[in-house]
Amino acid sequence: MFKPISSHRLTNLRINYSFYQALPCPTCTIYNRSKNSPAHDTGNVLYSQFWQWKAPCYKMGGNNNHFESKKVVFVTVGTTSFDSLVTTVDSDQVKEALSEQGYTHLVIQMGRGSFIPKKSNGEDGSLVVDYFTFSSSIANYLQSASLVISHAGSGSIFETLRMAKPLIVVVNEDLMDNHQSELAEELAERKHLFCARPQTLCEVIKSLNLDTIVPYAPGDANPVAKLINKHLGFPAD
Amino acid sequence: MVEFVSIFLVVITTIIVIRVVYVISQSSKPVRNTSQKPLSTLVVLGSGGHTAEMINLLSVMQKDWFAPRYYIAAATDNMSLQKARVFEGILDDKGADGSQFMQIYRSREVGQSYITSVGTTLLALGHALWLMVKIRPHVILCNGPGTCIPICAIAFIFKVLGIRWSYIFYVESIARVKRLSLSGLLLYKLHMADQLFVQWPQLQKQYPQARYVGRLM
Repeated sequence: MFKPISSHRLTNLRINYSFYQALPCPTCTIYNRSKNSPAHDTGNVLYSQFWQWKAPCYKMGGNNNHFESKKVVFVTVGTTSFDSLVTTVDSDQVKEALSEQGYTHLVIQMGRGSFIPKKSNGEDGSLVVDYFTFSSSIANYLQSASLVISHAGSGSIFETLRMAKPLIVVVNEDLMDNHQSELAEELAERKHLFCARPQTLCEVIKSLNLDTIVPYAPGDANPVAKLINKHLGFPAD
Repeated sequence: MVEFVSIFLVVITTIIVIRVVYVISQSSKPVRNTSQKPLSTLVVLGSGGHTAEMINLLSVMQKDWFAPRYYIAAATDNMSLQKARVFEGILDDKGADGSQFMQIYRSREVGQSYITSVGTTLLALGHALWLMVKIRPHVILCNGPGTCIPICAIAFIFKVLGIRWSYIFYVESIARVKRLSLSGLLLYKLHMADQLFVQWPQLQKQYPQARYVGRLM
């Protein structure tokens, strides 16, 4: 189970890092709200500048808030829209469940959807919530996340698995030809990810156990290429 | 006169049938390629996940054996050609070795009505024919959605007519675990692909003529 980092681990970490100040800090997330970013209310901006990449930082000097601060949940719907996922994620139950699991930030890539989530700066101790429509650098968001909640597109799934991030795939039941659930269910059976529907997402988050995840070994295209070469009479190696 | 025409038709039909059977039986056999010359290659790109899989495959293939490479993507899909350009390291429409990037009309967009889709299907077929006449590729690589069906059908007709013998390789998307996609099923049932790969063993069990040698992703 994911819990906020306990105090004695914190102390150890702090001692270690005080010697290696030049190294990037693994617990510090990379997203920081930029003061200069343009207003972002229309939902039509193609490349959102709302979140900006910022280098990991060190705040030493007896301030250990730093280590418990950020655990980002990144939600991505891909190139289309998936309003029922965004609506579910933005619901109070799901946000509470995420808080209980120790997550602090929620970043939603909402695509072409029309449902606009509520932004929150987390002043009342709840999740910090922000959203954007599309970004050319989804990889950076994935990298910064402690948990990814994704639509069932194979592109997003494998990009996340390759980064070895915990992943909950939410199958869109509104799609006509719903072959996408095949992949998510197969990979869930092999324990590489968790599979949910919008209505079961909350339950899945509540019972989330990241220890059961089996890391995904990336595939290898070489055997296919070799057979093609062989068929065409090219030397096989 | 009527007798002559009917005999003529029977003969023509027989010749075509024999030729089709010959083409199908030859397609599954390995090629004796003694010259080892590079083969012009047409790569049909799908969208998002499909393109990523195709790029993974291309990245382990010998670029000098498969050249020049022609990339085709749906006209509504700008991302895929962009990814292919990045993969090739080419910024404009033509590369130094003659590699090209092209867009093709789709027969039907999601949600389009069936009446208008008759017209757009004809347009898409015409466009595919035009591109195939121009390119006449030796090798066709495809892994996904509808865009590749008109291309493969035209390639097959070219084979039957003796215009160009092209080798068709189809890799079913990794998203297909239990059933082939419509494109995959058509190519499988009509024996149009030289080799058809699937990425899950349980799928290969259902379609014994398909091959399973691991996953691309």
